[in-house]
Amino acid sequence: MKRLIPKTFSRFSLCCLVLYIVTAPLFYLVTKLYYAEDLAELANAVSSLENLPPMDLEKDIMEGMMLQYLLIFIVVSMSLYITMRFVAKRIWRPFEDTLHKTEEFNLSQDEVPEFSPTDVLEFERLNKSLQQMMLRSTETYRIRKEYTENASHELLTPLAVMRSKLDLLMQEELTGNQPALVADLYELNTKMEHLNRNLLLLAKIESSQYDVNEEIVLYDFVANLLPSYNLLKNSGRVVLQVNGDNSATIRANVALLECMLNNLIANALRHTQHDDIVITISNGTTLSVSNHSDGLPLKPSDVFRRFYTKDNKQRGSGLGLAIVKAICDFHHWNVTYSYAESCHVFTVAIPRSASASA
Amino acid sequence: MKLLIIEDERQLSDSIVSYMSHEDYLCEQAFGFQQAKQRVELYEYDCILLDLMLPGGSGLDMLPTIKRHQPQAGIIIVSAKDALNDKIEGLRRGADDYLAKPFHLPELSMRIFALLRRKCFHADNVIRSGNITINLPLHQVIAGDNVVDLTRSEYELLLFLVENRHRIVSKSAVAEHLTGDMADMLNDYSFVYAHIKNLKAKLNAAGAKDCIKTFYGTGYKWNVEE
Repeated sequence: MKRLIPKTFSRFSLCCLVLYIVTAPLFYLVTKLYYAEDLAELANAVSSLENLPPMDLEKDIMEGMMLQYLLIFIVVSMSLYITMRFVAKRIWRPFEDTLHKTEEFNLSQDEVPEFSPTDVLEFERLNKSLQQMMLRSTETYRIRKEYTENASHELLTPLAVMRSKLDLLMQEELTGNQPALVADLYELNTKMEHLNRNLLLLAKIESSQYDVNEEIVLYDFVANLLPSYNLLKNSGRVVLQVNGDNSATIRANVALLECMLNNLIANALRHTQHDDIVITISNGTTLSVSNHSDGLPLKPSDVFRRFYTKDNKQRGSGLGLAIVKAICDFHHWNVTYSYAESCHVFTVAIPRSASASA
Repeated sequence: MKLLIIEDERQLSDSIVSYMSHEDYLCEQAFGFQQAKQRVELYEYDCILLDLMLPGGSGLDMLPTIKRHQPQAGIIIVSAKDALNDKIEGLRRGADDYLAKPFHLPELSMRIFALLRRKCFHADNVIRSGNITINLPLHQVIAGDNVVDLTRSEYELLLFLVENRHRIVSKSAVAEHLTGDMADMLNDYSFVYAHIKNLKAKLNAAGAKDCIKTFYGTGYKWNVEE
């Protein structure tokens, strides 16, 4: 196990050394043929006491020196290039891997990635601390999920008992303002139950306790639910519009899909009195629910947040759209909110199921 | 009619007994797995309410015992574990119906009633109350000599009120009965008012006056002398 800088340095030195050794014959040749050629002739002449040959020693030495400089420069830059390009890439590969896995990491998937082994000290430290951090985060996340689920679950029984007692109390001969008090209690109990049930549902969706196991035709599914939605509308209607081919099938968990639709419709019902609520299905896969409302446009960034409300006159549980978002995320669908001409539109884009497009 | 209530939460069990004893039901209670098993093996019941999470064992494991000793009994699973799997598994092992906690007592009463009718009175598919006759297989309602023309949801509402006769059912119980899970998302039960109003008007027109009494704030009651 080595630190990053000494490791890179030793690789660089090694590379230089190898290149020098490899290029040594070249040095020899260059020296012999250009630089030392005149000197050798000179030495020969001196030793044999001949007349000195005509030569331009100064020019030769300059040329030879320059050539050697060039050669040394080439060797050093090649070593540098090779260390940077190939050696560094090899050394940094575990880091790239760590980076990639960290980017892919998703808290809700409950899975801490296994980083590839490395012999660089810094990377090893990074991997270790990242892994610990991820483990701690997933653990915290899991505890939070479990807590919500357990708390909601444990609350179900007392709420059920309370409701049954209220059902019984209601049968008594109530006088004065007792009926009003019972009605208030009943309403509170109902509100608590709804809140609790929705929190439990959210926790269950987040911990992926559902399967995406059914192929359905979206249009047929919505058309089946339509009568029950119209039951809830005192004036105006809930209408279903179709654009394009509506025979496409989608993959979904049916219980969750129905829950999502119910929430979208309930949300629209809450904000519309007399106008129609329009459900539009385009090409069998894109579903939108729109309603007219005098209210101002909502903030697209906040609209799916839990307990987000524009005014204090909150009538829903405050979780409906958060549930819609959670169900879409669970299925990897894209849900968006838009507003145009006092019309609030929620659009869910659902991909066609693979078998239908194949 | 003999009813066995297998439920570990004593308070809830007592409430059920109290509500059901208005009808001709004889209710017996069991609070744990072993006690429930003994009762099932020793006595005969027409209907058994079974909680899935019992001290000493799972209600699902009780189902085979019940099926062996009480083949005639109707079984309704009542559970806080509203996971879909439990429901499917319970029905697969021979339960007749499934009700998730928390539920409304009128809803439970209605389910028991419907189950017993299916199990015991194969011939008698008519409910009478005052001068109103409800023919179940035909979904037909007759008041005196007149056929009352009701929508499906109005018919469901009428049946719900009649089967909980002499007791007040709350607005939210009605809402949940009519819309199922959707009631969870609506805090405004104005559609219940609208339905009650329409049903009252149609019954009045057919000559059955003042059948439904409204209790301000709390709920509604089927108010017909037998």
